[in-house]
Amino acid sequence: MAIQFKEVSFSYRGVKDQQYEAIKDINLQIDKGEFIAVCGQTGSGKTTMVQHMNALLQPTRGNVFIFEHTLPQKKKQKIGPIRKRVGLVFQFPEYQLFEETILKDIMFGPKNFGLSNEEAKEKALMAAKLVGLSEDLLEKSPFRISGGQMRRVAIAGILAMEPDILVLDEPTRGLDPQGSKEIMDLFYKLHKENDKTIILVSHDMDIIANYASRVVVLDEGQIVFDGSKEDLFSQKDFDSFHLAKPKTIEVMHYLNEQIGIPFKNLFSFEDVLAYLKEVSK
Amino acid sequence: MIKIKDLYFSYDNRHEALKGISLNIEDGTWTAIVGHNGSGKSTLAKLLVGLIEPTKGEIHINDMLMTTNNLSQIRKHVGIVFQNPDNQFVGVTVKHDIAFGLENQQTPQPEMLELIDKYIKVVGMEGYLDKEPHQLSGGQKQRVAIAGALAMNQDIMIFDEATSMLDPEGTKEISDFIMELNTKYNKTLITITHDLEFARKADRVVVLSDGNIMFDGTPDEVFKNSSILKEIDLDIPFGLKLYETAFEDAQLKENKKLMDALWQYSLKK
Repeated sequence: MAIQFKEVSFSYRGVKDQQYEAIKDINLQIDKGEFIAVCGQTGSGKTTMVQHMNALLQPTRGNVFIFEHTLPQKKKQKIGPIRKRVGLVFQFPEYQLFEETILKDIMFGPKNFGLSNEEAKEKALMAAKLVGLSEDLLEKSPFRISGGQMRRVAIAGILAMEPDILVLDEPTRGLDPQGSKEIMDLFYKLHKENDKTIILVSHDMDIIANYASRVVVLDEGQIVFDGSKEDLFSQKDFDSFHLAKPKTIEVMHYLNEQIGIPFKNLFSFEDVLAYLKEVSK
Repeated sequence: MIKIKDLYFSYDNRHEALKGISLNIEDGTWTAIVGHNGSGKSTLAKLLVGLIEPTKGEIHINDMLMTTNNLSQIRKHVGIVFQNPDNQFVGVTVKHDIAFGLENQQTPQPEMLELIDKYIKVVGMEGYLDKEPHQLSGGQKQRVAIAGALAMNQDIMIFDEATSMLDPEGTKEISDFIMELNTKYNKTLITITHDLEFARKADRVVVLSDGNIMFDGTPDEVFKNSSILKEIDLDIPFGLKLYETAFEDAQLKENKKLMDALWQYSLKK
């Protein structure tokens, strides 16, 4: 097991000490090698929940177990070892770039974990290669490249720390369709070829349908669904989750109602096309 | 009325971002400008508000030739809302943010307060006047930007990917507002987007590719023309993409019942 939430609640302290409970009694178990999507409306607690996964937040009640570590931590325990195993990519991570060159920016994380310049550079070069940044770019300023490339630099900075788990908070927001697809394909490759466990927070049901296998749905701070994507989209009370259906499922329903093609749970454009060919034979 | 004549722009004197664009935009119309990253669409937006200066060519706004000397005049007519709500919020509070543009226009204070009051209601954010930017969602910040633009009473409004950083609810909410500016307030609207579903609702779609106008016509004309859609490599609405792909498949094409259903579906979405 990689991460486990046991009866976890978290409250933000508002003005005049008012408590606002963002997540309530969360129980969740994540195994190594999974690709999980977390979805739910704005304000449902998605970001709060995943920020516990690398100890950015510590529970107000309950416990989070991350490999051999336990949250909340005791006073003298260090957060570093957790962050090394779980990398969190924030929304719009490119806003956190700050170094003079792309290479230095990617090296920042590993150096922070005490690696020498040489070692950090080696990790950075490896990470740059993983995200598809060409070497001639590395001496450029991170502020002189396109938005999509800046996001790759920020992601490389996380990968350079070689985490086992990647937590991605809306990694495609603000990118154009081509850029989104490239970034998602990259994460999928890291999942398949480099055995990274992926936890993806997203609003985009088409992306979720295409890439994730398990989906966790949050509503008002609580988990209202946890299961396979196949089960999610055929849930009777699906509408109560306020989520859109992926377009592949929508068109399958439409073709079933209009011309009686048997409904099938399909999640990619290619699969729909192949299925239509099969039934047209 | 906007008249663009043979407009060129280069960021580095070597590569041209715009390569001789000519375009007339009538009052009260909604034009969607689409194209993928690097096609020149944001460059065009920046030129239209005078944030950058063309290397060649002319822009006329309401029969006024834009020059470096009359920008404050021009900006009384043209307003712009950008992609990132955080980069354009300049006030310490919502009230100050809306006031900023009006102060630049030297609007007298009593009138200014009246305008702020009026337009904060239009965007449904009364009660937020003293809020600071960090207390607002992305969609709320974009609404404030729209209120500011409305208060300045510009007749031409440009939205440069104004919803692409918002969540789906924020996107829908702001898209609806943008459309209302045209239908209800009769503003000339220019929306720059890679969201073809949204562009489909405009009066006119201008497709930019590599600094040139590749196509200019009604949304129906653009969507009927699959070669353009392929060329621009944008995210074609799913239903249409499925129809187009099926149409190219010899076997599927013969299945009339299926092709009809797919066509109906593509119109629905």
